[in-house]
Amino acid sequence: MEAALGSRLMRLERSARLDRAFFFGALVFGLATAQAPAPSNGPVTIGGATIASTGIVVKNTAGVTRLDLGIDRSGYPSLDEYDSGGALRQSMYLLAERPVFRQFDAAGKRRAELFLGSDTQNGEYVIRDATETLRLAAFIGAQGLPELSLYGSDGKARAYLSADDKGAYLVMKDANAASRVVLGGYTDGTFGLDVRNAAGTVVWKKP
Amino acid sequence: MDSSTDISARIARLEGSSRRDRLLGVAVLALVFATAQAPGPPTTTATTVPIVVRDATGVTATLTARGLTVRDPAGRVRSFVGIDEGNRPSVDLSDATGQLRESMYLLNELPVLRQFDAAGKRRAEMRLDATNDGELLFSDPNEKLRLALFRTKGGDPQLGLYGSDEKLRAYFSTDDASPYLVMRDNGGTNRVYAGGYQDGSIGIDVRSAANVVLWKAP
Repeated sequence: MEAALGSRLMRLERSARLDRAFFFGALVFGLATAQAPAPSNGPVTIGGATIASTGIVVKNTAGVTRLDLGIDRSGYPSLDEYDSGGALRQSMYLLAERPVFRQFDAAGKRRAELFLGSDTQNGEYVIRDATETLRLAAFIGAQGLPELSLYGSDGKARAYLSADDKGAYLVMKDANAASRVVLGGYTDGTFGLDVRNAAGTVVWKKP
Repeated sequence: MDSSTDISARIARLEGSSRRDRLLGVAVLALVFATAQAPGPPTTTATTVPIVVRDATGVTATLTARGLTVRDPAGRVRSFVGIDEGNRPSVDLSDATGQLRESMYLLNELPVLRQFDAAGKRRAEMRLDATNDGELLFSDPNEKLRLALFRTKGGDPQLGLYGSDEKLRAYFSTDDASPYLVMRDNGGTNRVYAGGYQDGSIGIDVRSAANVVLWKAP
């Protein structure tokens, strides 16, 4: 009887050891493969796209960043698009909380831009040349007046068409910034046209 | 003998318990195998659970079925790309107060880039109109239109300048025959006309508030 009991006890003890090993093995396997679906603390990468805490970056097969959306290094929200060389070509972002949509040439120069002014929050659209000199601007000025301006290669205005509530006026200037032609409403409320010399003296006026 | 019988009964219970435990363990292991996920980057497997990536500063990016949202440490949405609440594809940028300041989206299936001031007013807009013609529009703090670059209903390109009453003060346009510049007063009367006339001639005239030509050339 005692021999039978001893044999059963030995089997039980062996079985217990096996069960313990089996349990720990299952535990280790479970821990090794367990994943909490969310939240995740580290970046998530899917092919060329990486989602980090600050947004998403998409790279091409050569590893060049082509698109970046999120919060930029300055802490402002932005959407940036890059060419295949990695140069920033188009950006939509808040610059010091001011909305800007900017387009760059291959040399990285700002060539076209739509934004709100930092002081007035008035809208502006500007076109610049390859040296980033302003050549054309459509905007609402500091006095709240809409205006289209054309600029020389020196960045100085050559012509502008504007309007206030009383009327509109077109002014053409020479290289020295002297007004040479004025057409439209004058400050006295009349409308007309005049041509001036380089000194600013009216040489012809109608009516 | 009684003691041996008691011990035997206890061992029998233990043996039964051990068999049940083993059966349970095998079942649990089978479940773990069936549901285990290999660590590493997620695949394209669909999930209904948002993916949240957070850094030590508290900035978070959340990817849901609607798109990607980036929040600042205060929890305010600063960037969004995806399908917005109106089911429009959209890129939205908001300032630190949470105010939407810039948005590029499809409004009634028409592309729009809009810029808002700090008060939330639309101040600048580039879009295609209902006829798919391009437009650039600037408005004042009262959302009154003050400047527009667009194509007219006739298809002519035009620059329009508007007063604070949102009425035209000047427009510069062209048709296939010739360009023309028109300036108006606050009564809506044409005061200056320069360029091509409807009769095909080209010239310039200045008019009074009563629309009487005061001077014309040639």
